[in-house]
Amino acid sequence: MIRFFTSRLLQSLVAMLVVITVTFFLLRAVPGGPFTQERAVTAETERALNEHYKLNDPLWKQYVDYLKNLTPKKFQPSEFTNGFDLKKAFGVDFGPSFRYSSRTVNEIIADKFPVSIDLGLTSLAIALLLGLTLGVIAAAKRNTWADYTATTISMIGISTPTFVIGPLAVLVVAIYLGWVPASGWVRWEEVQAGTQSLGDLIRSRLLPCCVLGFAFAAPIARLARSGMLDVLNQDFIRTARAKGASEWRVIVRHTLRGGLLPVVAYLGPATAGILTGSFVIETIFQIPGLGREFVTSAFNRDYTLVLGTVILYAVLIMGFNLLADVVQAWMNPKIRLES
Amino acid sequence: MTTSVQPSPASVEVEQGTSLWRDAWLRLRKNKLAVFGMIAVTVIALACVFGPMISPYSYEEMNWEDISQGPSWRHWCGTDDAGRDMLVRLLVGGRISLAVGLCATFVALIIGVTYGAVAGYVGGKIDAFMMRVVDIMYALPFTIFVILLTVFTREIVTTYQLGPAFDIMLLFAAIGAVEWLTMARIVRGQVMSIKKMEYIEAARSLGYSPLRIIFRHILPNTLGPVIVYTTLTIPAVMLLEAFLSYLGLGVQAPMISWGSLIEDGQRKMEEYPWLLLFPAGIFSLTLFSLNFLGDGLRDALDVRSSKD
Repeated sequence: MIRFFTSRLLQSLVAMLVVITVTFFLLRAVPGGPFTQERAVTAETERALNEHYKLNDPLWKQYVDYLKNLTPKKFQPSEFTNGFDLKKAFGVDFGPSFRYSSRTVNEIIADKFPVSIDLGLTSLAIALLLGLTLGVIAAAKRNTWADYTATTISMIGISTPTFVIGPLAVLVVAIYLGWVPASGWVRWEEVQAGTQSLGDLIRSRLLPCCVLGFAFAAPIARLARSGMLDVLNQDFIRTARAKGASEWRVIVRHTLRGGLLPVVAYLGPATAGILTGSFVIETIFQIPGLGREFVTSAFNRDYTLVLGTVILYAVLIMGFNLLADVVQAWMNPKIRLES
Repeated sequence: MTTSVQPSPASVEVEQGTSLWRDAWLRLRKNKLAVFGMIAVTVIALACVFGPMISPYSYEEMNWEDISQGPSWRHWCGTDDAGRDMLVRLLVGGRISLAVGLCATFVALIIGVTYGAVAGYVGGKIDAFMMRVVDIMYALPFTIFVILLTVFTREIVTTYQLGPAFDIMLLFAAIGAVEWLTMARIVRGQVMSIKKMEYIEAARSLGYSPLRIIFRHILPNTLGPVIVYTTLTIPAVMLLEAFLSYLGLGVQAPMISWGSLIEDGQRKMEEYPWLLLFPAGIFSLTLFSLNFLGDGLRDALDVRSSKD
């Protein structure tokens, strides 16, 4: 188990280094600096700006400096949950933003990332709740109308992208029916401060979280269904039935653990999907999260902000992949032994 | 895998037609959803290729007399706020979406098949290293990399003042360059099991070069899974292209694709819902059809599910 874990961890670290290196040099290989597009910048100002952001250093030095600033120097997660300051929590410094001259990348992340986490976690919860329910019901009631309904719903969810479902949902639910606002986002702090009501908070979240959650409920339902069916066909389930276990007990006690393994394996890709899904959702619903910021910064060639966001996303995705692997190995001895 | 792969012209007669491909075709025909998908994709593709040629309208010609009209006999899918005929815009956008899907898949196919075949055939340490590289690339955040790549290619195109067509070509390459991993894994697995067969040994003992053995004797027998996965890659790539265009990172105006039409329609949906409904509908229908076709092919060619 420990060997398995360390080898996966090493692999992730190599992948991480690849991400940072490729992103860094890809951005530097782009012709023209971040300030060449600006109209009003004179040659002199540009030189000063380059000087200030150390863009005149040799490339390898910029790279090494960047890596140095990135290396975690301490570990105080409490600081992180309390304001999302990466510098205070881990000593990680992403440097100044090139576009927002007065702000650092750390500040921008601290400002925008909580919104994306909130959106992502709520959506993931909805996806799991809806997907598992649909999948387990479909497997338990195989080849009945309940199964067909659940399978059709998940097929729609798999084939229709969020940027199609999202605008359609806004059109029908927000504009025609007028039940919820079409855009905007209410933060928890605003509710605590009393400027917004809890109802507004829920209403502002309903559409974006359901649209994003639905997109991932669909594959989860499909994986859960096929995983459950695989297990239900095995001999030990027949034994369980033969000894008189109720159908409920067969499902919950004997099938769930093995049947949901494929869903656990999907946790990694799902995280990646929810992060990239947030680019679209935050654009549709005008939510001030990090996903939209990433797309804008990619437009603006805000080197450090792009790099910082990419690294943050990569850490998250690889972290969840690793977590999924470990949980899977823990749930299924076969995988553990094979490695 | 002992049946002939390419039936000679003489084997068209019914009593001889027991090849893998004929069986697959018979099975595919029984799958209603797959047949529907095949017909729908064919109709949409033909309409996209030939439709704009016979239409009296052009996709960029503005007409101030027909601004923002709903669907009518004159404009079957209505017009946008510059009076441009939506049907022609849908078809021209479809050309680009389909072209991106096909070309990027082709790039992914070439890279993936070559990489997988070499790794599987050579085996040993080289194979282990090559597959470790694939593992690591799997762990990278894909979509994010594609976004970076498109930004990169865009800058190159604007700096060196290459035409918009070049922009699209780079987009193909960028998407193809990251979609080949699963293909490589599938082909490698196939090659590893085929290379142990006797006829390969025979070929080797005849002194054929490894390249000849790989391309002439092994790869034709991996066609089944490759075809299935290629069919499933096309909608995945089209989805990625639409995603990028929706975010404004894909094709640039005046060029259009289904993704940019959806984005445009979304901004005007409150007043002119058809601007959203038509592109969203045709895009979803195409994705549905391609996925049904791919699933049907998988069942017909009896390829074990190897998704993800």
